[in-house]
Amino acid sequence: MKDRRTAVLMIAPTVLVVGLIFIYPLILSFWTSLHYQVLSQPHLTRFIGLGNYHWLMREPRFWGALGRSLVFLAFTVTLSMGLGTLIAFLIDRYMGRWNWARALFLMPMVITPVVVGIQWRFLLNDQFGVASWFFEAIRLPIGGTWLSDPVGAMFWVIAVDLWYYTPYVILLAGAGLASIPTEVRDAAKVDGATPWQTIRYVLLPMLKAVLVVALLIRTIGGLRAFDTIMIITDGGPGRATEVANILAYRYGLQYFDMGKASAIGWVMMVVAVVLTVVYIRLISMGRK
Amino acid sequence: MGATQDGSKRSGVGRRTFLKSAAAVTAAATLGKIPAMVSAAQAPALQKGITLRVMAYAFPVTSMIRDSRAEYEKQAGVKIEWDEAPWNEALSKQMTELVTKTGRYDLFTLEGMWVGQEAGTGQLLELDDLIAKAGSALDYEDFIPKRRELFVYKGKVIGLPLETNITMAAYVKDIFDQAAIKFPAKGTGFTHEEWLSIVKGLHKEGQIGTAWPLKPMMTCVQHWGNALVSAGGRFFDENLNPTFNTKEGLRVAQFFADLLTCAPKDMLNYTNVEANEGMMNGKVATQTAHWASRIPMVEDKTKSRVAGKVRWTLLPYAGFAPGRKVGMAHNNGWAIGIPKGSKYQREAFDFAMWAVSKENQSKLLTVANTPPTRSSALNAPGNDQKYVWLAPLKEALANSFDFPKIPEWAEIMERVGAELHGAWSGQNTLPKALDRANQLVTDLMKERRYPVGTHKGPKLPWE
Repeated sequence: MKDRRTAVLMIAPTVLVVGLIFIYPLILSFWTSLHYQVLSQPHLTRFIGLGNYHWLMREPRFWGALGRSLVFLAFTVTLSMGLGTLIAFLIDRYMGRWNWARALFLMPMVITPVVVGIQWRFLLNDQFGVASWFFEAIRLPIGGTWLSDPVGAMFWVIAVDLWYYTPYVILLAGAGLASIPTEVRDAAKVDGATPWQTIRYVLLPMLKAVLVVALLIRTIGGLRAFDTIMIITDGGPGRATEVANILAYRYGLQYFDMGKASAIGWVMMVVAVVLTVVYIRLISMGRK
Repeated sequence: MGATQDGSKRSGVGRRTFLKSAAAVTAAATLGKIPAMVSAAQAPALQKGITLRVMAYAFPVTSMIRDSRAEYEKQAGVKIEWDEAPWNEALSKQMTELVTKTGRYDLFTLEGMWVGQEAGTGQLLELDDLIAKAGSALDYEDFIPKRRELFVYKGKVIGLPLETNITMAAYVKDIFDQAAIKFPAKGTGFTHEEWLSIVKGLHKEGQIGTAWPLKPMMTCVQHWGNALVSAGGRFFDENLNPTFNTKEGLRVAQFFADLLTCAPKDMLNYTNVEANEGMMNGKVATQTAHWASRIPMVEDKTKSRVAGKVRWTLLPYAGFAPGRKVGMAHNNGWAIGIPKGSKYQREAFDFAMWAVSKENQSKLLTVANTPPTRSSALNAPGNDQKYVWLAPLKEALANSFDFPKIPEWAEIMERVGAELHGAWSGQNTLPKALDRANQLVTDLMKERRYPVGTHKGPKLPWE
């Protein structure tokens, strides 16, 4: 009994802090989502129950943004996971001792997203951009209108996200590979396994837990995508790259319609929780 | 001199001598303080140890005030803490501060197009009484009327005008001279057809005909709106029905679509920065719409290849409406406002008064090459000859109009802007985009309980 009380006392500060900085704002934002609340029109504030959620379900702009979020998520997660794992294997096989190569891949990750956005916006600019200049120099007429074209803009925000976050997968998969004992690889070699068979039947299964964690983090990261897209395209042209987070930002910090912004935030959180639960189930199924 | 036990020398000053000296030092210090106390009385804030906090948008005009604030600190005895952020972030912070009434900030920089949004919170201090009390020390009447009106919300003054900002067309004079482009007479501007033909002619290998900002989305409405009003269009009819999809609206939207063919290929992703940089690099011959607040960058000899070679004229939208000789621009600019939550409203007003003083307004022109808001600074003898942009700016101001001063205006600009932007990028046709924009505005205005379609009276509710 005494141990139990001590334990409760010891975790109480953590629970209190988490409650204050996480639970309280969550409850507050849910409460806000049940109100019509526009900061610039305080006299219109009123309780409307699930009105904002009802509005959201009927709002084509929200469904468009959610669809774009899912497209962005599908491409960035699958490609970064695939590319990251592949590069990790290549580094492990051919550049295992070259730590500087690993460091090189990590470089994009040390730059803040806002700077990444500005840097790419100017790289892709048709007048001053290095990318446009390069394609012009090699007489490849593909530069110039990338960010003014709906498909081109989506392509580039996905490409920038890949450039930025694939190193993260490389880092995690690389750490996973480094932790696999050499004896296992040697045993596979002795048994006559080809490099491909070693990867397919030995290394990949052993990496599964690490890769699922990377997948989970990348998915949550993909759902949170905002800064780079906002700076590179501002959600445009038109609404072509307006993902759900940009929509929430517009409602919250441009229109100051806090009720609707909170409702969008809550729906996105539910999407993230559902995906997380699915991944966790996958992990536990894999263990069984 | 004696020696202590540890061997160090002891001062030979006795108790009596020490007391005498102490008394003398105290007396001298007290006497020395008298002049300082007199000046403290003139600046009452001095003894309170007040710190005023400013949340400003970083720009040449605010930088000038920021950099010279030490002068004011010395003069008034207050400490000024200066926080800066890019416009969107500054606005978000200001709105949050206004609503939560934290009193963390004492002064804000306000922007004309967001007056409705910020003042709509009801948390910006009404300055009428303070202005009246200030009398000739402020000389409020010296501000040009258009600037004063911009920062009046529901009949109350909510900001002291800091900077004049308006759009004009900009062009590189050498290029115009080489192409023998005939310039319109004073009091008239280029028609939209003349302008289109000029930029088409200038758009060739190694040179871009024109540029103007189209990002963020609301920017599209700023420029399309100027052309719309020049074409005789309006944003709302007399019954408060939105009128964004009229034939005038479509006509001017098509004009910009035509202009895009003589603009950089990636123009739809151009903000003010890229549009201005294009001209500063000598690649772009004209800017169809150029903010006066960007003049310092273009005229900066260390950064601009065309410094001293650029000239400004009225927006080239004459001719859209029969008989109209000039293009119109919306009245815009910046001011300094005070949140009601400020604990030091009086002191904040004193600082705002200093920031917009006649002396600082003159400096704005001479040091920062930025348009002031006071008649005395704008109309000082010789200025028109010295600053090539000043005469067209005054003409633009004389032909300016106001955007609706309602809390929803920034949101309307963003929504309509995105529809126009989408159409210009080929995702929709212009008529459909404008119809959709009109519907979005109608829905928004109804949601905010405006009497859409039922309003009656000679003026719209905010006029």
